[in-house]
Amino acid sequence: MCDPIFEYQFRLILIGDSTVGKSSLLRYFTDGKFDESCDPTVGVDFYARLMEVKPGVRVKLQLWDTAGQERFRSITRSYYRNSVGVMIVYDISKRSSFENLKTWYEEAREHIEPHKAIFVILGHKADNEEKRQVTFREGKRFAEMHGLKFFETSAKSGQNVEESFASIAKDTYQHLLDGHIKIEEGWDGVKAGFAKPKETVQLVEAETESRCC
Amino acid sequence: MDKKEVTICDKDINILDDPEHSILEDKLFSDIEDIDPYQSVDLVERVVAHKNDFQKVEVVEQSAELFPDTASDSSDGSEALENEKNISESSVPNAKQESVTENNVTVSGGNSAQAKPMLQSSSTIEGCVLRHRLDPEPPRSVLDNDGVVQHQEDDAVPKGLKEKNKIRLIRKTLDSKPVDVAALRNLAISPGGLINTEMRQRVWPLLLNVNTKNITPKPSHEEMLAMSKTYTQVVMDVNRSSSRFPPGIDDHVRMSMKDKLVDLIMRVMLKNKQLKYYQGFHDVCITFLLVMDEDLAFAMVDRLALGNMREYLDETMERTSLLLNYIYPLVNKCNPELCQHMERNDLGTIFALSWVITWFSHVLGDIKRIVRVFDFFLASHRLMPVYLSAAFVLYREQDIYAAGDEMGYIHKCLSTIPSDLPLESLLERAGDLYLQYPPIEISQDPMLIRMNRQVYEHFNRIDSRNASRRLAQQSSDIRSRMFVKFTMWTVTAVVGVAAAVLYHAYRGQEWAAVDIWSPFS
Repeated sequence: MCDPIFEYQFRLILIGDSTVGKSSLLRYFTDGKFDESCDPTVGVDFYARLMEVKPGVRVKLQLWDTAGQERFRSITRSYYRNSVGVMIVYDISKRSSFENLKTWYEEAREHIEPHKAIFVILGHKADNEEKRQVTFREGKRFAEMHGLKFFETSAKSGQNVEESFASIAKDTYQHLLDGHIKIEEGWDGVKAGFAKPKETVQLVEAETESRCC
Repeated sequence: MDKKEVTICDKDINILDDPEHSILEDKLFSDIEDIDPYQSVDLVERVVAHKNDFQKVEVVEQSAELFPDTASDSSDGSEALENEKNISESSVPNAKQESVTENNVTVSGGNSAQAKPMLQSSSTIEGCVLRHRLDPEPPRSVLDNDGVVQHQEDDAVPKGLKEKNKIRLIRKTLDSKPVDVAALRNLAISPGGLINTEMRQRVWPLLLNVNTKNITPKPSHEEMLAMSKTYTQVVMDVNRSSSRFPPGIDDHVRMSMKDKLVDLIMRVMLKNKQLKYYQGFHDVCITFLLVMDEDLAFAMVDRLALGNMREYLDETMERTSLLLNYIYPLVNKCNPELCQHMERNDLGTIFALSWVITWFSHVLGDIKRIVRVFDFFLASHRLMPVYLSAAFVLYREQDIYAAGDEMGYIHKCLSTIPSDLPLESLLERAGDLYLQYPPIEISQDPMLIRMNRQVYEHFNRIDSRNASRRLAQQSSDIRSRMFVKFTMWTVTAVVGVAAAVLYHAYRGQEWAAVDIWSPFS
């Protein structure tokens, strides 16, 4: 299988309480599919997709989906270090998942340092308006307090899924252009992509499966 | 029974007759005559009880009446007693079939005859009464089986004559007195494993030397709720575990089994409070619940939880990480180049985590393959899941190289199980690896020692970080408490003085006495 063309490769990680919908969100983003019931993640899962960050510039997003249960944190922590972007997800219909945001944020920051990373806060299951326990303002306030971007998303309706990933990808790209984030040896958060042989290779918008399987 | 009920019943039987659903068919319609006359009475009871369980779900649908499961539990108990009575009364083995049939009739009649009040804690899904508040599922069409790997031809079970011969051999071994467990072990390991559900129901408990009598009774709903954190997690995970049930399984049967699954997990957790539930343990429990009745499944899982799977149920993943490390020296012994490639790409061992802690039940998809692997593990050394993981890695060598120098793609490649996986030969390879490089030899391998040291360091770091965080938290608590106290004292003093001044201010005749203190002077 030929590699699609991309300028950079960004490694992102999704964290948050169990059952907030991290896997559903990623599955929707990479496959466009939504399953009502999504098996719990055991350990970590990997997804990938290409995305355009500005006309003609594509990046590959490597997405790591982590198990939300607390006991798995001890082994998923090692994935933080090599991430340039972190999406912290909570469920708008579950108050406790919002209350744990701070812990997730602090833990991720602690493990990513000294590297820099872009954080985004996602209030997921936004379609579930009837059972909402966290208002949009609360979510937004938390994000603003920490200087982060905030989206309310839904894998059921597709609301803001594309936008939130586009946002983190574009911000990372911008930071890279501005020199705040650099490609470093021994750090996989950002890697250079493949050069562009313009005529020979067909461009692929979304890569949903791995290269080998 | 009215016309509508008859239709429902016909539909159910059609579903169960479908060749695709052979597992259920096994459970419901496996030849009762095949039950061995000389096997232990206890096992017969359980097999019969399991059949009744499934039948009961149909009965509930037919009569469209709501029963709390706790109430049917008590009827379970009376059935078991009746079974025991009937079986013990039938001194002639041939009489067993009759007693089994009679029991089924009694069960159906008994359930449809009385309507029982519903417990507050139970929830109802179209005629199916549940102990736990599980989310209802929309009915799924046959095509709607995403996530379930289906295989037309499964290499796990050889067909035809071989199968029959093996069943005969297993029966013969079960007949031996005392039962030759070592021979059963070999039969479980050898190609095809234990062939069908009935054999598994009889052999699995013997492989683990499970005591099928005096099984701890099911805890009450209140006891489960009291363990709220675990209970909430378990219900959430069970709610999302639909893909683990055989495709095409009736919605009501699935919901009823999910309910039993919560019971089963909580039963193990409540009996052994030192164990900590992990996501993936539910996958192991479903597998047993698909093969045997609740009590026997509990006895099996309880034994595993305290034995082969003990490390996985620790509070932390430290000991599990140490076990996973075995994969590397094993791969290194057989294919050093591949091992270097994996190490160079920082692959780690997390790709194999779900394989090992769920005994591959999280990833294999097809229940036939899963039970085959369980045959193998139940009859093998406790580290065999790690040996099988190494065999899986070695088998995927070319795919791993094809994934290039990218940890993510190698991880993805390994965690995607190909549909044409030659399971039998991989089990054989794992067995060979075990014989060639036994755990004692690997445990002294320098590579393992080095990797284990990293694990210790990693977890020590986490421990010390947690400790310092707790300490910081405590000291900040103390500081904030001191601050609050100080503020309270100050405020009280100021308010007191102010009150005194105002009091004197109102009493004009005493102005002179407080003149020097007065702000108006």
